[in-house]
Amino acid sequence: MFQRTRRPLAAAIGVATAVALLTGCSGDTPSDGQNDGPLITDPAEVTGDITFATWWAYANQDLIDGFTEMYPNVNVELQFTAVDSYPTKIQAAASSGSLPDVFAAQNVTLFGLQKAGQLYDMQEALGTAPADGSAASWGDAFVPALLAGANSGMDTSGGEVWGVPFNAISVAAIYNKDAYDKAGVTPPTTFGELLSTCTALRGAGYIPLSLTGKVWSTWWTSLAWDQTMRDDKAADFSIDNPNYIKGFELVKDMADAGCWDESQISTDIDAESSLFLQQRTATFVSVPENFLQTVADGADFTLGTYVVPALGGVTPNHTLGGGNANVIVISADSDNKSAAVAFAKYLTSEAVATRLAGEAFTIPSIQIAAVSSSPLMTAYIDATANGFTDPASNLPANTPEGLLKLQNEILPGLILGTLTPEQAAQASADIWQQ
Amino acid sequence: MSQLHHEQRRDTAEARPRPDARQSHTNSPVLAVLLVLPAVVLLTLFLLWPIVTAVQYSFTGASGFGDADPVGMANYERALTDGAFWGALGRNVVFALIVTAASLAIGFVLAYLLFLRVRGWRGLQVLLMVPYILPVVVTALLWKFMMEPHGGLFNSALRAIGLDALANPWLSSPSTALGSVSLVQVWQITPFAMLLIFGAMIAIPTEVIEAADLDGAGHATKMLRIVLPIVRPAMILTAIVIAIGLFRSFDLIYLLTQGGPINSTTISTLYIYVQGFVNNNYGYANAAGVLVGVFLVALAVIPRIAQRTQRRRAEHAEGTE
Repeated sequence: MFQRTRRPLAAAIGVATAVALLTGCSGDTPSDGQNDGPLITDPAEVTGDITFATWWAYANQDLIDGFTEMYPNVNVELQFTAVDSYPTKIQAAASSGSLPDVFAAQNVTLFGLQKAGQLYDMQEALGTAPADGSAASWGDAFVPALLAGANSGMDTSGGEVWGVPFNAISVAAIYNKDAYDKAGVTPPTTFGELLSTCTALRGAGYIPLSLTGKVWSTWWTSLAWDQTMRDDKAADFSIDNPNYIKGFELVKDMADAGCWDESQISTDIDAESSLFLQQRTATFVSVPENFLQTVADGADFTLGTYVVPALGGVTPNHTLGGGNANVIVISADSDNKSAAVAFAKYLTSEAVATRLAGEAFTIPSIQIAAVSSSPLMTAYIDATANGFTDPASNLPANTPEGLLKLQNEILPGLILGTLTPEQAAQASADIWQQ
Repeated sequence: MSQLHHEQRRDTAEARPRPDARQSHTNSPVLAVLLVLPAVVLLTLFLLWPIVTAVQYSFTGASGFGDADPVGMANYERALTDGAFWGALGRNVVFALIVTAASLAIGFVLAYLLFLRVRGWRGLQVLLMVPYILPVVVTALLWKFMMEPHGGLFNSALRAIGLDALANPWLSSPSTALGSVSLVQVWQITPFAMLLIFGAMIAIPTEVIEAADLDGAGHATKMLRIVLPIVRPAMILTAIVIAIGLFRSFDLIYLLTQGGPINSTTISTLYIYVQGFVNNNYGYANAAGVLVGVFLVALAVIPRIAQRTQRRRAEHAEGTE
C-alpha cells in the first residue's frame, strides 16, 4: 500500500516544487511612493503615526519630544537597535515590506535599498522650506559635499536624492599624551613628521597608530587620494593613473615606518579602543560621536587630539566626507510621507544640530558654525576647516563589494607587504563603479 | 482441564480479529494519509519549503531588500567561475581534512586510554567532554584571549621562555590563522570523536583482548592491530559525520576571525554569509548554498554507495566460491 501511495505523494511534491520554481518569487514590488499627492508642510495639518529606526544613541526620546512639540498631531515611534544588528534588521524589514517610515542607513544597506526601489526620492522635499534657519530651501541648508556624499554610489542620474546627511563626521587622531612624552614626540603636522613619530613611538614600545582594519582602514587611502588625485576627474579614472598608485604608496610608506602592527589588519573598533585604553596603542584615529565618548570616559591617562596631517604633505587635506556615514532616508512605502519629511527636516534643523553639537560629540551637516562641546572636539572641528571631500569628484564610487575587497584583501596585502602599490592598484580594477 | 483449555483457545481465536478484517482496516487509504499527514506537513514546512525557497531565490538577482528579478542560471554560472567561491570551498576541504584527521587520531588515543580503564578513567571521561560541552561563544572567547597577539597566553609563554621570535598574531596573520582556527576546532570536536570511538571499543568482546594478552601482545600491538581494525567502521562513520559538520560550521570561525585576515579562514559557509548578508547578493548566495548542499549530499551518499557496492562484490565473490 505504501508503495502505491509513495509515487503520487512524490509526484505532488515534485509538481509543487516545479510550480514554485517556475512561478518565480512572489515578493511584493515596493511602490515608488511618488504618487501620493503633494507634501503637506503646515505643522497643524500634518497628522498620523510614523516610525523612526536608528542606531544613533543620541537620537533619543527627548529629541523626538522636541518634534512632537512642533507637530502635535504626529506620533513618532522610536525603534532603537544596536549598530551591530541594525543592518540585518533593516534588511529583514525591507524583505517583509515593513520598513520604518524614517530610518538611518549607510553604505551597502543604503545601496541595496536604493537598488531595490525601497527609498523615497526626496528631490521634491528638498525644494521646500527647511524646519528653521535662513536657507532658501531644505536642500540649500546642507553642506553640498555632505549631501553629495550621502547619495554617492547610488543612481542619481535623474537628479534623485535618496538620503540626507544627519551629522557630519570628521577624522582626527586622539593621542595618549603620556606615551608621546615618553617617546619624546609632539603631534605631527606634516606627513614626514607623522612617519618619524611612528618610528619614535615604535621605539618606545608602543603601536603608533590604530588601523581598525576590519572597518576603517580605507580611510587612509581615501585621505591619500584626496591629495594625490585632487586634479583628476572621476570620469577619466584609470587604475594605471600614477596619482592613484601614489595613494597606495603613501599607505605603504606608513606601513614601512611601523605605524601599524600586522595584527591590526583584523581589528574592529572595540579591539582598537581597548588597545588604546590599555596604552598599547599610542594614537586612536577615529570619528567623534560615541567612539570619542568611549575613550574619553575610559582613559586613565592624559588625552589630546590633533588633525591628521595631510598625507603626502602637498596640500591641506580635506576632511573625509562623512556624509555617507549618517544618512537619513524615508521608505518608499511610507503611508505618511508628509510627516516623514517633516521629521527628517526636524532632525537636520539648526535647533537639533546645535543641541547635539553641544551635548554629544557631533558636527552639524548643515551650513552653520560648528560648536565645540569639549576641548577634545577641537581637532575634529579644525579638521573640517578645509571643507569635506566630495567622493564623486576625483574617483568613481566604490561598488559595495569593492569597498569590502579594498578593506579586507588589498590594503591588508599592501600593509603586510604581499602586494606592491602597483599590484594593489591592479587588484583594485573591479572595486570601482565604471 | 482439557475442555477449559479448548474453550480458552476458542475465545482467544474469536477475540482476535480475522486476518481479512485487519487487512482491510490497515489498507484504508484515508487512515494512511491521516497518519502520515502531520509528518508530511512538518517536513514540507521546515525541510522542503526552505530548500525550495533557497533554490527559487538562487535563480533571482535578489539583494535581500525585497527585490527578486529572475536571472536564469546566471548565479550558478557565476559561482562555477568564481575563484573566491572555489577558494572558500578548497579552504573548507583543507580545514575539514585537518580537523577530521586530527580529531580522529587524538580521539582514538583518548578512547583507548579510557578503554584501558586507566586510574581515574571515569573522572577523565567527564573532563575530556568539557570542550565539547562548552558553548561555542565561550570556546571562541577563551581561545581568542589565549591567542591574543600582545598579552595572550601563547605569546606571553613564548616570550617568557625566550622564544620571542615564535610569538605570532595567531589569528590575525594570514599564514597562521587557518591553522589556529583548526586547532580550536580540533580541541572542541575531539571529545565527540572520542565518545563515538569509545562506544565502539566497549562493544569489543573481552575474549578478544584476553586472547591478545595471552599471546603476549603489547599495548601498541593491541591498539593498532586488534582494536583499530575492529572500530574502523565506527571511525569511518565518525569521520563522515565530523566532515559534514565542518562543511556546515560557521559560528566558531565567525567568532574567531570572521573569515579573515585576507580571507584566509573564509570557508564556504562564511563566503555564503558574506555574499548574502554583507554584499547583499542574496540570490547568488543561495546559488552558492545550493551547490555546497549538493556537494554535502554527495559527501554523505558516496561512502554509503561505495560501502554497498563493496558488500555486494564480497557477497558475489562468496557465492561464486
